[in-house]
Amino acid sequence: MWNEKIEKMSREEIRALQSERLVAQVKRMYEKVDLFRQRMDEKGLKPSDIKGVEDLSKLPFSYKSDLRDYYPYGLFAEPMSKIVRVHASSGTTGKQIVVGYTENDLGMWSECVARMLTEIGADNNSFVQVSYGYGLFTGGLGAHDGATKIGATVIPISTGNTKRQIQTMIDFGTTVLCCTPSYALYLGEEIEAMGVKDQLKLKAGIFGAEPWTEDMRKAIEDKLNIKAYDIYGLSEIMGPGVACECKEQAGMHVWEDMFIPEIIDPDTCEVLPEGASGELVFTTLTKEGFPLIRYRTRDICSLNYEPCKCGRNHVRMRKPSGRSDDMLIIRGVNVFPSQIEEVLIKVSEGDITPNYQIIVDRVNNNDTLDVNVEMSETMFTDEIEAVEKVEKKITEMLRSTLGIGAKVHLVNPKSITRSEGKAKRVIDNRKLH
Amino acid sequence: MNIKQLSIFVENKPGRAYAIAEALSNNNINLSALSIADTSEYGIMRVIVDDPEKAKKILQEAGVMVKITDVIAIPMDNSPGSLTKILKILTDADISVRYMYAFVNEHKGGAVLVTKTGNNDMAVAELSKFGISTLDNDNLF
Ligand SMILES: [Zn+2]
Repeated sequence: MWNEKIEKMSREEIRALQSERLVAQVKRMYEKVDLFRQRMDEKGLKPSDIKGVEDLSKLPFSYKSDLRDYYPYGLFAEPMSKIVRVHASSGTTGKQIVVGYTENDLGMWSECVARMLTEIGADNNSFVQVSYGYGLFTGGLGAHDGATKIGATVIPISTGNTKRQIQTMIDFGTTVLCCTPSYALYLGEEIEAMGVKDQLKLKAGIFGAEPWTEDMRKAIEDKLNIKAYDIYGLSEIMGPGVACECKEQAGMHVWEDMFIPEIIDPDTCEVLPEGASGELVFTTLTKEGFPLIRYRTRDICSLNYEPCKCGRNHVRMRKPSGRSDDMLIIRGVNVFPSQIEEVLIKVSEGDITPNYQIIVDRVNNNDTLDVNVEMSETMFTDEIEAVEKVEKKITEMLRSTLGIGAKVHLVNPKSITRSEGKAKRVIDNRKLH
Repeated sequence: MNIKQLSIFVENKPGRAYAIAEALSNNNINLSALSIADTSEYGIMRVIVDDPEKAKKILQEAGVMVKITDVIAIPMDNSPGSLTKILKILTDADISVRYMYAFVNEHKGGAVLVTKTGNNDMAVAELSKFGISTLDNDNLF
């Protein structure tokens, strides 16, 4: 194990550490984050009311909309002079959300990833190919820093150019691959087609940032001749590595020295009993730059507190089975239907927003996004060039708003099926759960 | 003189154009000219009918996106060079042609050129200088 002392803690030790850290975090945030202090005051709570994890459920929730309302730096708990990096991801509207990290935060993040890499057999002799996107997205740099921490040789190839990815695996002797599961499957198929499977030294892969099934895991393991491990994270809480699978492949261990997970009923907001399925909520215990208390992830899953055969007692979360909101994960990117609606509102220039429908599918292991838009008075003219211009404008605005490409189809008015007068906004034909 | 053209959005799906033509003929709308400009996914059908307002209503009720557009209809005799002559007049006057199509008008015994220009009123005025009088919706049928 990378950090045996922490990773092998008993439930009692974990709980004691969490209590100590929670009390300190609440006190710190009450002093430094205006929104948190306001919400505590509204509830009539003082930091001294929080004496340990048993008081967690008294604390106010935080929401993704907070990140939009206090964009960009309004929720940071350290001055910008202490912030050494920012990452960003999609918000529910056109505006992205931004998070910040102190040097210590980056250290804790790489610690999480280092624990996972060590668990799956990687060490300073490993070659870790990071085929996640590098940039504001947390995937690339998150895996990169973790691999650096264990002393592995990092191959920071980022996404794209499949032939070069495969040639690099062969030439550089890649042993661990990090990318999205759908891309892993695609790579596996290309490798089969090229007939170079026996030239690979791959042993394991860490795949995350999008939902995937056990069938996909089997297919990836078979095609790449590796063990495929799941990783979970979200930029608001840290990035990939908040929870990681161990060799048992039986749920992802949440690193409870840094995060407290809770499962709540998304409607009543009550904490649910152990093992129940509900919305996952996270509290960060060690984050300095951008700490959050009881953050509503909107992911639906359950927690398993049974000791794991791997020797760890850190709680295991099941793969999320869905969302309590309408967020879609397409090619690893978070997409909200409201972002698409916002583009159409802009295009219709104050007139009635046209009806639309989002169709997501997976073709050859690649997510596809199609947006059907009903033709409206403002968009239609008698000249084909003008209509094509509108179509192109929507396509370009969607690309810049969502960060991924969408195929736009202009369709007849009232042709999108409505049930009870309301158009069904999203059709997801992928079978991911 | 401008005439009224129906501009209709048509998805490139089997039967869409037929459904539009059928809706019009079922309501005794007389259709005298038709052209389609299209991309791989959709097209714009442009038609000249005897009662554009009524036709528009019928199509709207059938869930079709339709607009009425002003175009000009120019009679052409059957002599060679009549199209060239019209285009030269417009070009010399620096009037752009957005689109054009032609049809044979049986009753009047000649062809009719339908066009939308950058400035229809100016086009009508220029053509009349050369003795060409444009048609209106009534004398097309
Ligand atoms: Zn385990």
